[in-house]
Amino acid sequence: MPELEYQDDESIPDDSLLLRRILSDPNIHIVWDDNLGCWRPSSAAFDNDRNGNPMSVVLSVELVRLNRSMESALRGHKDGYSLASVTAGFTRNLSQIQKIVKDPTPEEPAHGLVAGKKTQSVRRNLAKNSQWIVEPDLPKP
Amino acid sequence: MSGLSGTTWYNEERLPYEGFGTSLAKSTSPEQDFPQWWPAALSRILFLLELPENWDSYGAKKINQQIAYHAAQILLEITRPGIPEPSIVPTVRGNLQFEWHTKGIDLEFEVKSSVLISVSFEDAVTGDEWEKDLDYNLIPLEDVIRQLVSRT
Amino acid sequence: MKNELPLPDFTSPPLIEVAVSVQFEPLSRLVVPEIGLLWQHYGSRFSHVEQRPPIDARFEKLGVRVPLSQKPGFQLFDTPPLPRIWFLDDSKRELLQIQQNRFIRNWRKIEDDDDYPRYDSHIRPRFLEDFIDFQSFLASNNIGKVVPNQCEVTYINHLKSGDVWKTHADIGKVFKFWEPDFNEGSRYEIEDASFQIRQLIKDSEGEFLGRLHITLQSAFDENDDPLFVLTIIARGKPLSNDTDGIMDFLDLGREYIVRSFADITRPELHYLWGRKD
Repeated sequence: MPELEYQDDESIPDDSLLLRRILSDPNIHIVWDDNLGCWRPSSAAFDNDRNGNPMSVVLSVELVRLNRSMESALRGHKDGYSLASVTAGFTRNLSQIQKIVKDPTPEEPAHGLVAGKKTQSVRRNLAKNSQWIVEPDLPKP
Repeated sequence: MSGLSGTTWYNEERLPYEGFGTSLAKSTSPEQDFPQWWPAALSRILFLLELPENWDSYGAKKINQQIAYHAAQILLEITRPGIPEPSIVPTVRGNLQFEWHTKGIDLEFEVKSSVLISVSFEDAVTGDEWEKDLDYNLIPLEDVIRQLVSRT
Repeated sequence: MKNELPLPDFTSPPLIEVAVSVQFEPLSRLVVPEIGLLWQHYGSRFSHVEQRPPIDARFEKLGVRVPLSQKPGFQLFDTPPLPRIWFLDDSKRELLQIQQNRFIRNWRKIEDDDDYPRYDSHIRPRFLEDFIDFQSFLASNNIGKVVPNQCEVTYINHLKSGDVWKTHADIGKVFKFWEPDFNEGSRYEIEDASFQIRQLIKDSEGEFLGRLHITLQSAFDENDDPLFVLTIIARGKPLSNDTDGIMDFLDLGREYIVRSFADITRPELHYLWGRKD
């Protein structure tokens, strides 16, 4: 669906979290940020899909409604994945307009989409301002 | 040794449209050495090439071989003495991205084709921030690399 | 930048080979069976075929330092790379070279009395005709589309010794960079000489397009007489991503080559080569 056709869902609060699976293997999508002194997701982890379709996330507001834990967003992907989060409000206020919508699927009822152009600065800002929910167990370099 | 037409003697073999030889290719700056981290970077690229389709669980493409080759070439081209080892990450489109996050600088560029790269730069010290596509003129990238290398 | 002054014109330039080339994004479907179809397509026009190693992709860029000869240190193939295929006419003067990322058309001097057939009346139109034909072949056989990324014109000259200069040490009598009596003034005996120069090619706005590479090598001919091989290559990006853009760069590159050739060589030799302008 073209991006313009997505309407931002205001029932998803600004302070709710958008959860994103990140491969735990260092230097696939996790990089050492010497400036922040920590391992964090690469900007490449916060992108639309290979065909330009909106970025897939799990919505914390839906997890709460379904009485599930945040960690349950890794359901079916527990091995080898960490879980990063950004707030809905931060995402909405990026330089390129991002719209957040609910998109439940049979596999993931809490599934959502973040529709909008993911420029390098958008991706970088998402990555730098993300927080770990399930942190990778990696030593400091 | 006879040249193409059999009528000319050279010190080295010449083929039609061989182009220029290695002697012409030497730059005016000192001969470029491979950085110490080069073998590790190369191994990383080769490792990333092995990632299967959907390696990120979100439907990501396998890394494109041609892109990987050009990415390695571009990395070599912009390398300077003292440049830190980059992080090398795959993108969902099958491209490669190089990243440096150190000395207050965030520098990333994604190699999208044999000539097109998308660069993103942010300097927390100066407040400078930009992103742009570069093709044949890599001077903006060269400038920020120099900045990265010279910052203590 | 394009100059409005008329181009230097020589009736008998010392050219032995001219090559015009387009480099493009690799066509992975241009493989052996398709090369066979191409040979059939050429029929009697280019009936002789030979094989050479492929030429690596080359790009002129600003802001890079590494020698072009320095490669990343690995190669990647799912299948062995397609060689560079030569298609030659019966005379062996006209030559097409095709590989997955390059199309080249050469004229070569085969006999001593072969005259250079001229860029405007022969080299350019023949290249254009064959390049359009090649693109048409690609389309009709579903091989792909040419997406150009570099263009190249190469002029190879054999500057023969004779009345004006006798040995390689007489380089000052050939090129303006040195005084004509450079050899006589040298403290130690000069055996031979060579040089290389790179110059920037820019568009009408002054924006970088590519480079002019001028190389001189000392050599000897079949009679063991001294000879200078002067190779001038103009390489850069097409002015637009279509055939017009390719031809625009090739024309500009040729202009750079011809003007530079006239600028760096001495008038005494221009007289021998029949300079008309």
